[in-house]
Amino acid sequence: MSPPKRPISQYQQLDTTVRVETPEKIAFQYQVIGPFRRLMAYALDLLIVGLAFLGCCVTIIVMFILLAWAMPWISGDFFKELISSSFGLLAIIAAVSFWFYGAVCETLRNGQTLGKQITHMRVISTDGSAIDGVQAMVRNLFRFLDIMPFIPTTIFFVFDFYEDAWGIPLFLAGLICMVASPRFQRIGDLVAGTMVVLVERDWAPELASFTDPRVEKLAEMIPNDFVVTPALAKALAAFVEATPRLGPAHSYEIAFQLAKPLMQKFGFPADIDPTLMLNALYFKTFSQFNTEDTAPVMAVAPVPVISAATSTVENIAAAPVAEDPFARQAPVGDKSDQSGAMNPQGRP
Amino acid sequence: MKVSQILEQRQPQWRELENLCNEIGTSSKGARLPATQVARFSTLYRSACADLALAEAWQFPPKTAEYLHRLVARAHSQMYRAEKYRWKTWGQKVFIDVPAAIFQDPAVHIALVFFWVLFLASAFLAQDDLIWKGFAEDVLGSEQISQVETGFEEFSGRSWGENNLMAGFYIINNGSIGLYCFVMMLFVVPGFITLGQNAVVLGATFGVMLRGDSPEASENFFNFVTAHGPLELTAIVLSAGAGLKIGVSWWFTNGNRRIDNLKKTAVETIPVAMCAFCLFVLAALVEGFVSPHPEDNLPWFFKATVAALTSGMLMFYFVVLGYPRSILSDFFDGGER
Repeated sequence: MSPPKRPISQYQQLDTTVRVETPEKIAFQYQVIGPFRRLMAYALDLLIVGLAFLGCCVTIIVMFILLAWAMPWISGDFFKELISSSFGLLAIIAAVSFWFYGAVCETLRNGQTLGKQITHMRVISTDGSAIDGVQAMVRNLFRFLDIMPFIPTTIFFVFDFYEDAWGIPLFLAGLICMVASPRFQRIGDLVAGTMVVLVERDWAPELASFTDPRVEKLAEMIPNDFVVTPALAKALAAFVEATPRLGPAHSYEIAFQLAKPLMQKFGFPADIDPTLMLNALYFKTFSQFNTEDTAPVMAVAPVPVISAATSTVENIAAAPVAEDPFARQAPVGDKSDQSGAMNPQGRP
Repeated sequence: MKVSQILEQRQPQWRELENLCNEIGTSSKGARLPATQVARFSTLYRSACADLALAEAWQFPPKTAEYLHRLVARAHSQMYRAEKYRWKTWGQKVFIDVPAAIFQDPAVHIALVFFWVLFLASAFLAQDDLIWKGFAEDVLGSEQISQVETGFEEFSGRSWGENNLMAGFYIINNGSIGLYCFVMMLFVVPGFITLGQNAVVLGATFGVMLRGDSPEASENFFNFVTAHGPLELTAIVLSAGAGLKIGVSWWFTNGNRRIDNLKKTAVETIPVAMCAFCLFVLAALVEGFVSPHPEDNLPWFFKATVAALTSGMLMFYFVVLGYPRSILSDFFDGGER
């Protein structure tokens, strides 16, 4: 087999998932966000800026009303001048917020505008690190290129309000660039070296639970010396987690392929429901199976729980830290992971 | 240990890490967290990294592994937060790096020469009206010339409220012109067309006013444009230069990959673009509050002084501060020897 033409990048990508390995040798995955979800965040940002602007307008109107009420002797001409001045102020607020909202928010809020925060997105560098102020400025400056081309307002007679206006943006340049880019980067992202990723939160994983009592009984009948390989464990978990989304016939069809050789191996009758068989094996693997029997990886030191009495810097600094179990327990002579990466994907 | 036990044991720590991420991420507390919480966050983060390694090595259920990937990613992005603007280093950047970069930037030189040559040629042709008979009418159109002349004939200053209003309008308008020049210059040829169009139209307008068909309009025109002219024209040149620098970087890569050269140049261009923006804002303020005053309120001499001062400041900033220090030091070292 010929070697790959290009060395494997430090930043690998599988479909919409980007794998990032940091200089500390920590590898993890980000899910990059496509154009339509990002458009929603942009629309939210515009809405927020618009509402803030509306708030400024209302504040100024209220101030005028209060002024007229508190100082009735002020002349109408003076008020007219004040109103003109406030229009000028509002124009400046609108321009500055439209030009700098994105760059300032992303710098001060760690890669998130308010719209991105609501839609659970964050801008990060393509190497996984946080963006800096210059990157935020660059990607937002190039937004004016991403929103091109413009439809001239003169073709819409109703909107022909200002002949020097740029027109109505179509966002085509940015959209085409995002569709063509594997990380869904618009032109500004490409130039600034950034990407927009998903920031999911408050979602704790649980093992699947079974209400059918036969699952546990069948699990007990599976021989204890049967070793579940990591690939089989992954297949089992994928199947059980996907079962609620599959119809019974589809579940049966998938389960049959995997369960049939297992039932033969265990000497089970052929009429056992293959879905039940896989559920039982899943239960045994993840809820009953003692991992120390097959893989020397489970002795992870628990993180010390901080109580009020121990919450001092000294105590925490002195507390034992969960170390990389591979580094600690890898057998002598095992050179399979000399890089020291904490997330050795593809490890057998 | 069973997987279910591991999950049961670790979930409180994962939730605690999530809560800390929420706490840091939703406010500006990140920089002011107590030391105990920072230490705790680091411990939990390292532990979650170990859990992720464990999950991948022993093939935990995919959802668990996916959850850990996202948790570690979230914690990582909170631990290494966005680098804010370093105000302390801005003195060095604003007064040394930026003027030096602009002074030596060939893209700015090209935009400067291109704009001013066209501007002066257009002004000369419009004023002279012999070499190219009817040049100003060809460029601007007779109708627009008469509109401009009528507008300036009738111009007799504004009230302070209108000045404030127009200052806001000028900031938007100037910013839009600058952005348009910048964006068009990214495509180089359309940029030169846009910049040239601006130069020719502005030059022809100046030429018509110099011609003096309507002395009153000419007087009011020069009374109006003198103060803010240097700032606004320099800002147009700078924004075009910034765009040209990026546009050219796509073609002339200096041995780098195109995209890498583009990234590098874009970062170098930001100070030029910001400088142009500042000049546009300054020009808008002068145009809003100084320029519109009629001769009776504010004599032309005062506006000419403002123009001379701003021109002097620009020269000092771009030439004196921007002059390469290596050349200066070589010159003085040579003198000593």
